[in-house]
Amino acid sequence: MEDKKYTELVDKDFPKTIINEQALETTKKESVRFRGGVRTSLAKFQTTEAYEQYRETVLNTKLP
Amino acid sequence: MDNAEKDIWEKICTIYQKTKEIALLSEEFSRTKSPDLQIDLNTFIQPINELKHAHDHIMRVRSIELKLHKTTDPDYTVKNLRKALGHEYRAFFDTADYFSIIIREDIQLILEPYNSGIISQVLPDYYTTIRPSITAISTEIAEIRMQKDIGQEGALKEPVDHYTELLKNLVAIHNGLVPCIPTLEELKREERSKERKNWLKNFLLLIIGGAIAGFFGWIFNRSPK
Repeated sequence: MEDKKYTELVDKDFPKTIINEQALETTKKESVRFRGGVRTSLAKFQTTEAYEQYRETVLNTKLP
Repeated sequence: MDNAEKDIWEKICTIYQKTKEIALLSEEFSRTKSPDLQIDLNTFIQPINELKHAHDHIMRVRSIELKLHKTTDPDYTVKNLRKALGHEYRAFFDTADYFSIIIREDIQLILEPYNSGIISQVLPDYYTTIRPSITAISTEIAEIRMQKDIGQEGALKEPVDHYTELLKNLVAIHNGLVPCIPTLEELKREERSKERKNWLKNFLLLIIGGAIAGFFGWIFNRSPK
């Protein structure tokens, strides 16, 4: 890698990742093009919103 | 490496190890009870995302140390280490929060099928000690989450250690409940069998009562008017 290119890249931030329904759909659609975890490529992960709902449900469920 | 850098590096390493410890611990709690979710920490992307950003800032620091990158900012290393620490801290909180939720849900799922009579028979201290402890731990976790502030760099270790300790207590409670499942099941079967016997007894009494009433009704009806 050229030094100039390295210097240009090193301070660049990764794009902000938003884990929403669209991210799930894109991951599923593009998974054939990439190697990776099976569950991730099948979009078996939670969106931030779904996690928050799941979290609320568990915390609001009273223990017996 | 000056003292400030060394101090931040120590925090990054310590918090990272705690996150890893919780992630490894969570493997014991893989999700089989909620097939619609089918997730565990391997597919909980949020903390992995934070670790990715932490790694990026660490790479910037190493690039300076290896002279692959130059900067005029004298605080470049410390600034990036602080940012890396912030991401490590958030990764820890995401991981710990998720783990606390899955243990709590597991505890709920273990006890859900049994009524309070069975539970207090098998676990005599459930309502006096165990359940209040779970509630207290959940409250403490909520308090730590409310107070977490990456701006207070000097006070990062304490909430992380405290949170880890609370999670270990929750795991201990969970692990204490698991061996009781066979006894809970046995008592539930006995109770069902008792209920069936009672139902049968009541049913027979109803039939006998009906037969007697029918008999007397027949007697009264056939009496001459």
